[in-house]
Amino acid sequence: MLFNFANVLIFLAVGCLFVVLNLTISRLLHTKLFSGEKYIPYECGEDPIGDTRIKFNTRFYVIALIFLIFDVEAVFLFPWAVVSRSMGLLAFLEMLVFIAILLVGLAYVWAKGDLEWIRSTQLEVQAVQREESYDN
Amino acid sequence: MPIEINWQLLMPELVIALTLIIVLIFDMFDSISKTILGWLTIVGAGIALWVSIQMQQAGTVGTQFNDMFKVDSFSLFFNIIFLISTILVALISLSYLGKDDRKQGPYYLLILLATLGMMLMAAGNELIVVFLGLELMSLSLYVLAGYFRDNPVSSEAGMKYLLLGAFASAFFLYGIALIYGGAGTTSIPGIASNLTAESQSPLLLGGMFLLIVGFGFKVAIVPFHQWAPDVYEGAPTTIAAFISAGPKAAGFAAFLRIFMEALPAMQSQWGDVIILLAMLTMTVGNVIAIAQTNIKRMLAYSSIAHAGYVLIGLAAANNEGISSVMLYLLVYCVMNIGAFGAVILAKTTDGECLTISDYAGLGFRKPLLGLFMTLMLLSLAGFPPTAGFVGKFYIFKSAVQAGHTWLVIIGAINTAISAFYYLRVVVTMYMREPEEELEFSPYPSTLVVGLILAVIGVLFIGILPSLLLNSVQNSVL
Repeated sequence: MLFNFANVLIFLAVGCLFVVLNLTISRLLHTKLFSGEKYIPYECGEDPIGDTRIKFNTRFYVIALIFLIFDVEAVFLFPWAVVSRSMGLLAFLEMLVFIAILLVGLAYVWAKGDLEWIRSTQLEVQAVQREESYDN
Repeated sequence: MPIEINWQLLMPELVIALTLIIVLIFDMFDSISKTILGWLTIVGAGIALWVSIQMQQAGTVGTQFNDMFKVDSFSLFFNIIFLISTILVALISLSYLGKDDRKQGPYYLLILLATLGMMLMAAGNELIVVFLGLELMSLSLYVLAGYFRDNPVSSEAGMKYLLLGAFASAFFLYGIALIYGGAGTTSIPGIASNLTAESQSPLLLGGMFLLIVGFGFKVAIVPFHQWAPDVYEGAPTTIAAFISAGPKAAGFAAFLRIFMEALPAMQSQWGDVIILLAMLTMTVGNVIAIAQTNIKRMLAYSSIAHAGYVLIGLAAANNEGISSVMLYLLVYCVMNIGAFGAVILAKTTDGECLTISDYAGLGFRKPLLGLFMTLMLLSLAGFPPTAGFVGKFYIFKSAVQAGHTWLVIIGAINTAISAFYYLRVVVTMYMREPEEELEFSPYPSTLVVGLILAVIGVLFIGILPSLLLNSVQNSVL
């Protein structure tokens, strides 16, 4: 049983060796020129304008999650499309149910305001409304 | 290639999934009062419970989705445990969440999702399906533990639970991978048929121990228990009740299914480990519980100790052992949710009474609260005529039959230790004078109804165990 995994081990070893060997050869052969440009992250692209460690807007993660859900839906649609003709009406109805459930999810996200890029929390909205009423 | 789907087999799961979608739709509209969501959850779980009981009585058996999903009396009995916990937790949550609409929607949604995950775990006939159920349950619970976002203790509980839980899930998944390497399949009956005493490889052994680590974390057995007190203390009290009940039962359901059906040939290896873990879990849980001054932490350590008693039944690994574990888990869920419910009932105008000394004098000034708390704690300690006694009795009996007499002796010593800290709360309630006058909120009626149901359950099983016992003995794997 364990012997079947010898292939995996050989593959792993060859993979490691390949990397080490290539790096060593290129180290031996390449010309040694060290100027300031060599230390920029993208040597022949844009000049960096600041630190990479900046704060991301957390909305990116929410949008990415919503995107992922519909991405996976698309992945499911492909195998379904292959067998849908031979499976007939049942397959059609099942996919309708599947998409309907995801649509309910999308509607939920929409109703909760998570599709807005700039989303203030309800408390902030209330505070703004209160200020507006004071101004009037 | 036509696929036959037997919808009747999936009825309880379908009812819960449908309830989930209805709750989701109702939560979208701001014009609908959100208190209705809790009632929808209770009604949906109630229908699923009724269906499960009917199917269980009729002895429904069958598999679905290429044998990946197995419905039998065992999974249906666990469905009943999960659904009873869900209904009780929803009942005690109705008043706990208050009138704030923003808090209600996702709460019941996540509880239903976790319930669906548990049902998937109990019915999983394939390690991957069990893992899917486990993740569905755990991810919902991580969010629920950190549900009160503006409360730093709750956020800390959610974060801790997420980090440690994800780590444990990785162990579990690695275990599945190694078992696949050793047995060539992830199907539970497939593993059992591929596995003979001669064909055992070190891969299987490693996979099995990683599974024990993963499960050990999810059901909080020593030495994988450290998350439990912090999470129970920080999470909303209703969620602490939920985490300690349903998910623990679900963990043990999958544990039983995998170890009794897939790996019985390796019992000589895992049997001793389970015995060792049972001893450690009981002793550590009970001894540390003595030192606690916060009642939620005390209940957390007590729930760790109860996982130890369940492991005694697992170590017995015979039919009596399995049926006693199932009975004990049902009893434990009801009494533990009841105990947390009594903690929620002890609400002063500035918050919950969390320190045990806050309970001084409560027994006479708040007779109903005193009665509920005393009954639940007596049941947890295992005094007759409560359900806790019946549960412990059958666990110990099965272990004696399997020849683990000295394990039962350790269990009995631990029961005596546990009586000390449970009774200390009762003594504080009835025999101490309060240091300061606390102002109590009026009892919410739904919470009282939930507690009365728990009391009826505890006394009913305690006085007439034979009615339930037949059904349990017919449900073993």
